[in-house]
Amino acid sequence: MSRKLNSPIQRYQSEIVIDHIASQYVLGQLSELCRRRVRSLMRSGDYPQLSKAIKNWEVKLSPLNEKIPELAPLPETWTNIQSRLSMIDDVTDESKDSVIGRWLSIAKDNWFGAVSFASCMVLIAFLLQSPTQNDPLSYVAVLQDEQNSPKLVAATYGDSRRLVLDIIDLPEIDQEESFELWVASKTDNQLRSLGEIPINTSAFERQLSDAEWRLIVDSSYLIVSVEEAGGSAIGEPSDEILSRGLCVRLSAWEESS
Amino acid sequence: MNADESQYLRQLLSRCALKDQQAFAELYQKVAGKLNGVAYLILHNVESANEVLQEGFIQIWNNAGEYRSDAYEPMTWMTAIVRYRAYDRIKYEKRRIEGAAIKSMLQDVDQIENCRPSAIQMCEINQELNHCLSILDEYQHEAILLAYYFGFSREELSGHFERPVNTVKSWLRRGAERLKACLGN
Repeated sequence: MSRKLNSPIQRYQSEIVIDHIASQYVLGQLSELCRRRVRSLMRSGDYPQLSKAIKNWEVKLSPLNEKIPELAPLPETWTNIQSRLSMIDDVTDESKDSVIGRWLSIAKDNWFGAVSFASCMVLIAFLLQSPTQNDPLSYVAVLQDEQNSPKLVAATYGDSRRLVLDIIDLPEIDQEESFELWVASKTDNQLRSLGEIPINTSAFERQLSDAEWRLIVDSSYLIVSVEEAGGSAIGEPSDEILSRGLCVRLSAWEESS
Repeated sequence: MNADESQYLRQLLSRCALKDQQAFAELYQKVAGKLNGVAYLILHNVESANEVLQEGFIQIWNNAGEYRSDAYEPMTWMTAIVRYRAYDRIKYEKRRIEGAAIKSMLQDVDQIENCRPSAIQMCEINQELNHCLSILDEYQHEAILLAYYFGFSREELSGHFERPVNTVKSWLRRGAERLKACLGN
C-alpha cells in the first residue's frame, strides 16, 4: 500500500538516523539533492526532531566559527544588497498618449505573435495604467504560464534604470519559499537572478544596479521560479518555473537614447 | 564574541525583523567580515564568497523575524545561513586547495584562543569542544575540521587522505557519534 500523503516517514523518526543526517548536513556531507530533501522535511513541520538535531549540531560546532579569520567584503557587495532590497518609490503620472505611442512601437517588432491575446490585453492595460516617470519605458516583458495565461508584467525605465513589476496572478506559496525573477542572456543564454519578488504585493519597483542593467540590455527573456526563502542558493533557478516571457526593447526609448 | 556583543546583535536582528534598514546596515558592518571569512574558507574564491555573503544577507533580512534568540546565538544563526549557501555553491567552483595550504590553514584555525574575561562562557564551550575533538582519532578529527571549515566532500577527503571514500564516511560518522557522546545533549 502506498504511503498516505502527509504522514511522517518512519525512517525519519529514528533518533540514530536523525542524528546521522543532522551531523552530516551541518558538516556539508550530504548531496545537493539530500540537502534539498532535508530542508523540505524541516519546512513541512512534520519532523521537529530533525530540525532540533540540526540546530543542536550547529550550536555544538559553533565555537569553531570563532577561529575563522575575517575577510573584508568587496565594496559592491553592500551596494548590491541595498539595490536588491530597495523599497518601492512613488512614481508620477505621465501622458497616456506617449505610452500608447510606445505600445504601438512594439508592434513594429512583430512581437504580437509571441504572446497570447490575453497577454496583449494585459500589456495594453499595463501601459495605459502604469504610473510612469519622466524617463521613457525601455524594456517590457509579459510573463505567461504554460497555458499562456499572463502572470506578471516586467518593465524597465531607460534613464532611471528602474525595474517595475506588475504582478497579475502568482500562486500562493509556503512561508519558507519565495518567487525569484531571472533574466536569460542573449549572448551566452545563461540565466542570472534579478532578485526575489515580494510576496503579497501587486506592484513592486526598485533600482537596478549597473550590472543588473547590463543584464536587461542583453536580455532575451525573463522567467519566474519558486525558490527557498532568500532566493536560490546555487545561482540557478529551481525546476519549478511559473512563467516566462520575451523581453522586448521599446523603439520609443531606443530613439530617445 | 562576548555577551554584550551578542545582545547587541540580537537587538539589531529584532529591528531587522521590523524592517529597520539602519539596523540592517549596522548588522552588516558588524558581521559581514566574519561571514565573508566563513564563505571564503569554503569557496576559496573572493567573488564567489561575496556573492554568497550577498545572498546570505538578503536571507537574513527576509528571515530576521524567524530568528529565535532562545535557540541560537545570533552569530550561530547567521553563520549557518551563509555556511549552507556556501556548501550549495561548492559544486560550481573549481577549487584547487593544495595539501600544504590545507595544513597551514588547519594549523591557523586549530589554535586555541586565549580566554578573555568578557568571554569566559564562550571559552568554556570552546575548551569543551576542543577537548572532545582531541579525544577523536587523528583522522576523524582532521576529517571533521576539513569538512566543516572548508566544505570538503567525502570524495575530496578521500583524495586528501588517500583512503577509500567508505573509510572517510566511517571516520565522519564515528567521529560525529563520539563528539556527540562527549559533548552530551
